[in-house]
Amino acid sequence: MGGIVSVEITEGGGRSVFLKKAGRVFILEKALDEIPDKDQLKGRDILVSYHLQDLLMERVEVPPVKDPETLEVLIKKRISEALGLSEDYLLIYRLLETHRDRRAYRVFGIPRSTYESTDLIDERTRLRVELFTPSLISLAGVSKIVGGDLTVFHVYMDGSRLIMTVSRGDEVLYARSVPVGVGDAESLLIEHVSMTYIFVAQRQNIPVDLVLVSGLTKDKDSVLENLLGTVQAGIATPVVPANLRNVTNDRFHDLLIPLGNLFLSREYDFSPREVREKRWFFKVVTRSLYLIYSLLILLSVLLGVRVYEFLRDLRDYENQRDLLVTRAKAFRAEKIIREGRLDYYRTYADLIYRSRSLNPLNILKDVGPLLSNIKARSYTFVSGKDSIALVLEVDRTFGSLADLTMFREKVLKTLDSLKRTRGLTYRIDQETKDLERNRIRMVIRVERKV
Amino acid sequence: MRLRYGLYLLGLFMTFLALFEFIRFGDLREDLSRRSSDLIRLRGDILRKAEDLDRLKELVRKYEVPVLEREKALEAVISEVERLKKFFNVTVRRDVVVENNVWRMDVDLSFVPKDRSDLVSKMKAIGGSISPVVHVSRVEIRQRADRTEVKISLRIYQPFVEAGR
Repeated sequence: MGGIVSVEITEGGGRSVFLKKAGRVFILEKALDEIPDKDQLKGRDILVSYHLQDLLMERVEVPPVKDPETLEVLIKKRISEALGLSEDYLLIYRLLETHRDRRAYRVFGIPRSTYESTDLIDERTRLRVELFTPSLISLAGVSKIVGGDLTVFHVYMDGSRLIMTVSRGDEVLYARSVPVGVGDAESLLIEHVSMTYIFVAQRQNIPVDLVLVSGLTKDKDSVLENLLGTVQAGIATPVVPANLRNVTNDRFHDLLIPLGNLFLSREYDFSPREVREKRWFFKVVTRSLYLIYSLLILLSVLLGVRVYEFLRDLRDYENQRDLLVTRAKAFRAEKIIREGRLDYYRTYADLIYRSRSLNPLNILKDVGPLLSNIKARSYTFVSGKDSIALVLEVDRTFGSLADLTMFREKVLKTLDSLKRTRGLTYRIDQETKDLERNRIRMVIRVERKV
Repeated sequence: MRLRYGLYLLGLFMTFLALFEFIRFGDLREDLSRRSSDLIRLRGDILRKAEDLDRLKELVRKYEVPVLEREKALEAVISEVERLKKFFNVTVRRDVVVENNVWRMDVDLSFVPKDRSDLVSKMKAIGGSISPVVHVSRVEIRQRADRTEVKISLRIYQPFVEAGR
């Protein structure tokens, strides 16, 4: 929920309204018949209307230029040439027409001295002013709310001035202000309104759809009657808009100009370019502050977690290192290591292991059935790199071929059985048969991996 | 306004600093994690070596492994050959050599056993010694018409320590 203060500065003093914004709704908190001091402005968006008798309004044509600063220089030059101005003006311009070789703008201007002499706002507060615009234009804010896209001829009067502003939506088409006194004859008012309306409708060729009468004008029956006779458009009195709360109809008419600022486009801000740029930068800095400090808090938390994890890991690492040092010390304190005999004993152990495990006679206990079934000519037990083996050389002669065959079958059967039950492998390296003599010669290798 | 700019610049600086430290601590933690893994691996190595050492100590205790210097070790090999000569015909296949602080000698034994019990008793005379270590590499039993011939190839090892160690 944001706070807003809208101020109108007039020659005699000023008026201000304090509102809070809830979504699209504005709620009036208080209204003062004075210009608020700095403390009251704190923390709120500031909108300022400044009452000017004369507002520079001109239509100019310039060549198409993209750079806004160059465009502004060109427009100022044209205005200066057309009106013979010597004073520096703060300008805003609205694009009216685009041609191939030129563009037409409606230009509004106020003297820079007016802006700088506004004693409401010092240098620092100026950077926080969202909108600085003449009262004549502020009136168009209310016209837009009531008339929408219709062309509205708005007549407003209070105790010291008569303001007439013609606008269509966000477009201000014409504005004029006339000082009036309390005792002025109504005929004078009628004359000003009638003359201005005719000027707008006939000379400026602006077709008016709706005439709004507000402020003290709404109570001037003679003015209303005259208008009814003069204009062809409808005549109405603005009432409190739906999105403005806590305001009576009479109060609304009293505070019409500062309240009009709420609905006015920010394009009618006459603040100088350098102030707008500073304000933009100030806003960026302010918004970035929240973002940066939020990020900083988040990063600090994450950094804290990471540092905590790092310290925890470091503690684990140190514990592991201490344990390792202890174990290494104990290891080095062993007598065998101390005396430098580790390699000696290791070699010894390897040799003992080899002599025990690779003793070829170890295979004897596995090949018992083979030895009892075969009467070989020689038995050779050998050890390899990682195996032990028995090589049998058989040379047998039988009485019949059937006996020879039976013997051979028996040998193979025994070998298969050893393979199956003892995990041995075998290979018949050589086999010859002499069928005339019923003689068989075989060289069989039985092996076990170690 | 100045305070706000000051806070803005300070916040910006602190944020970059925090970000830098956040990344740096991440790298440090990764480095620590690598070192920790190395430490665990090293600890595993030491544990395995300690287990090996325990087994070695048990072996040394069980077999009463002697510590012999170079000359004594050679004497042990020679005396073993001399002992074997009492039971077998001994042929030196490869004379004594030294390799990696181990004396080594290859010999062949042959004999003709009178009977089975003679064969067994002679075989028993070969094995069992650890000083020196006698490794049986080949045993050949050949049946002849009138007798059985046995040939045994041995490799005799004796490690030693250099004097003064």
